[in-house]
Amino acid sequence: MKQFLFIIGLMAVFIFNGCSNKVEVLLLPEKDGSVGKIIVIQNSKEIILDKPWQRVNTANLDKIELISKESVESDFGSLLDAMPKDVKNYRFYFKFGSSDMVDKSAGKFNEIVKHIKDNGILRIDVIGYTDRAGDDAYNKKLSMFRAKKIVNMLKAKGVDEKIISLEYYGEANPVVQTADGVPRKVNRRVEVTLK
Amino acid sequence: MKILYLIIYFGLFSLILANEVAFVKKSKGDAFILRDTKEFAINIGTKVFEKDTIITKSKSSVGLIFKDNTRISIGYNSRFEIEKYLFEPEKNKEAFVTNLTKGSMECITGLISKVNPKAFKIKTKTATMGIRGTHFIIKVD
Repeated sequence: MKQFLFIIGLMAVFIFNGCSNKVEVLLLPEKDGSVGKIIVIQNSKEIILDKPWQRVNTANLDKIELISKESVESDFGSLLDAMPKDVKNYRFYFKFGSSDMVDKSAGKFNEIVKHIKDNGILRIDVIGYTDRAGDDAYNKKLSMFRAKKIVNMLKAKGVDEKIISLEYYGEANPVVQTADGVPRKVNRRVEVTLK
Repeated sequence: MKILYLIIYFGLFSLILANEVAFVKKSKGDAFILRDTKEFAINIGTKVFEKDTIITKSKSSVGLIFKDNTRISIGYNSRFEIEKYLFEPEKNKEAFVTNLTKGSMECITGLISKVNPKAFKIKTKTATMGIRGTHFIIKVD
């Protein structure tokens, strides 16, 4: 009987824990040391984490603790291991009004192919842009030709087309803002993201 | 006319990956995707869509990279649903709403939380987290 009660008691503890749904939130620094911000909201109560290594549990939102890097590594080792590496960005620049790369960028192309093959890259985003010389419709087309040029070069190097996504936005999203009609070398580009 | 054909061609071309919101970059142990009550195996490279739920068993984990470069790892015994995902920078449309019903996740935010900080939310049964970047862990007991 005692044993039976003990088991019932144990079950009650498990059920209680199972239903309580406590949430733990930990704010970590980025690689460069910078830190973001998280707003935790529970039953209209709101707290903010904005310093690295802060932890809060929804069981008691008033208690914000500081934890050590070591304890995070030991508690969440397998989670940290499963985090994919950061994506890698490349920028290729183009000649004025052309889908030919400038010589310096063309010379760097093999570097990207090597990175794709050495790092098991599974997705490649290729996005074409132009500067603001010329009208919108022309630039939209030009940015498409530039992006397509890079896609074709990747294919020629044996990269599987199915992992490539191609996009083009003409003069949108410039590296350097200029007035309309202004040619600017840094904005004539294709951005490639390796994932 | 030729231009029109080209635009249609490239338009379709970029649709191949268009509906995918993320893909599996890392995977360990026993994990699967629940999609419209059907289960799909998870492998390296598997496509992930809006409304998918990722379920991991013990000693298992999954690492995802999203369209906007957000990276998320999901720990063992977890259940993680992508409720809403929108990343259309040209139209200024962004949304990143997920549900962590159990288990744990680590996240390093990407472009969505940069261009539209209010778009990024993680929900659990009892609490909601507004994410203004950038690197964090959430665990549901």
